[in-house]
Amino acid sequence: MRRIASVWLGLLLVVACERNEPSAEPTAVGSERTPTSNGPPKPAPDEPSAAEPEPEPAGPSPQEQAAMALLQTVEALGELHLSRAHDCAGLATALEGFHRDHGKDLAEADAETLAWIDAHDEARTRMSAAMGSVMTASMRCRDDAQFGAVQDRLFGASAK
Amino acid sequence: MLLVMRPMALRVSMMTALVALALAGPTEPTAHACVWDYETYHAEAESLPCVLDAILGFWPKHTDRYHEVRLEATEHALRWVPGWAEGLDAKGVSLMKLGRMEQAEAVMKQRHALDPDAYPGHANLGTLYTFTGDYEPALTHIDRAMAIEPKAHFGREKYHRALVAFLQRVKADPSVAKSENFLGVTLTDEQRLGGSKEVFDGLGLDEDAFDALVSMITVYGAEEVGELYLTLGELLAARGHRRLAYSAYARAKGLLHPRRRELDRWMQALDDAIFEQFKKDAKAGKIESANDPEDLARGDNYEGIKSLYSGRRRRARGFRKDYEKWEQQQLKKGLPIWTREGLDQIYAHMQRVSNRCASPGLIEDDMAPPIGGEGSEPGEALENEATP
Repeated sequence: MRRIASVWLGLLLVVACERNEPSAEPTAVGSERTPTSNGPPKPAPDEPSAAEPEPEPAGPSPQEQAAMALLQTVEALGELHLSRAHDCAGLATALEGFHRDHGKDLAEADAETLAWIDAHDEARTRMSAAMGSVMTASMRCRDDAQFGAVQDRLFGASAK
Repeated sequence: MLLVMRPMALRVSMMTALVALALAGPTEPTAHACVWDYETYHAEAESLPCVLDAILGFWPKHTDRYHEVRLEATEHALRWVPGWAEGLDAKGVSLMKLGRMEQAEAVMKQRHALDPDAYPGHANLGTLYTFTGDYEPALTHIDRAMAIEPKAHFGREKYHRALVAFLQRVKADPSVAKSENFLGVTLTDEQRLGGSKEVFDGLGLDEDAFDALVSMITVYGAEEVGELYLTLGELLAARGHRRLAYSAYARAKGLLHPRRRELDRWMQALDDAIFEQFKKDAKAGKIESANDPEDLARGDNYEGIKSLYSGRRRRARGFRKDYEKWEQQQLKKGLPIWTREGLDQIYAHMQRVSNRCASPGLIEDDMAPPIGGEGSEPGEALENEATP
């Protein structure tokens, strides 16, 4: 009985692992979690279309542009952490420069831009990946004296 | 949906605030609700611990240390981008799981303000207010969350809502907890002992309820809410799973459910019925055993479900300790639990050491105990696990 159960367990685990695998493929930009849409406006049903040229697709909205700019900065921050994750002193020095150049933009990113990123699957995934690098390197360097000192300087007592 | 264990100091201070205590018992304060953060999908994937394992506690559960590490990591990222929504979700949930409720509320409100129409903001505030016993705002947020994403938590959030609405009624009139259960399942003694699929369907019950209750107990952490086990016991009895129903009632009783006297009576009746069935099956030669069939038919060598349940609960506690030890070791090694890779390792281990049943349709899975038997042993997977 136990042997049969073990075989079943093995089979089930294989199936369960497959079933449990979250989608590895990021969805396309514009795939949204909320009903809001940033895509181009759809023509009205009674709008003539056959003889008319296709309308130029609208470019990215100002919000999307702001979100993309923010994402690029966050990804650069992630890359920086990733590239120096094993050199805590070097990371600390590099972070001071990065903070000087971009710290304010990141800290003061407006709510609409952040909400836009969160509402769009691909943007959210990119943000998570970059932040994952920040967290991994920061946790690896958490006990490094120089890294800690720079964190204190940049972020104050909250960095402790 | 999530039920949160609090540190001891908070347990005492919140004792009077939670009407849920009337259901969970004065020594084991708990709360329950639906949460959403980046880990939810992993935890909620389409298989769940099997019913017997869920009842007994044979499933892995994160340690406080896990949330402390996750919190620290998240804070590193939030220093750079204080408005990162997913980071705020994770931080709020971990604070809540650690029992730091005021801080959790502040973080969740900050996240909610970013986008008042986003599902996680409502889901997590709904959880928090359920936990603190503020049922009215909890229901407001749960309703809004369900309206935004009706399919979140695989559509099971309605069961969470039903539990909160029930607790709200109990708060207004504590006697409700002694006469009703949160799904409104009412069985006669005859139905409780003679359950079947027909009886279950005839009562208008939905099999999705098994998945939902197991999720609430195991994924969302409502492990110590006696009301869930009582209701699960009623569902199982109606479906004809006498042994499972006995175990669910026993767990509800262990959690000091206010209907302890009725639970005793139901358990005794089920125990008697199970024993009679055993003798009947032994007489018909349906029980494989090295013992003499006549002895078996008289009930000799019959262990009895009461001692079986107690032994399994002891083993479940040992299982939990083993898992906690493994998780602590991984955290010490620096497993990045904030990444997909880290979570994959955690959940792969969880799946290796515990039985899983397919969901939806949990109760029909081959790993689930069949009616009249108990299928595979709870926690059996643990024995196949290599030493960590």
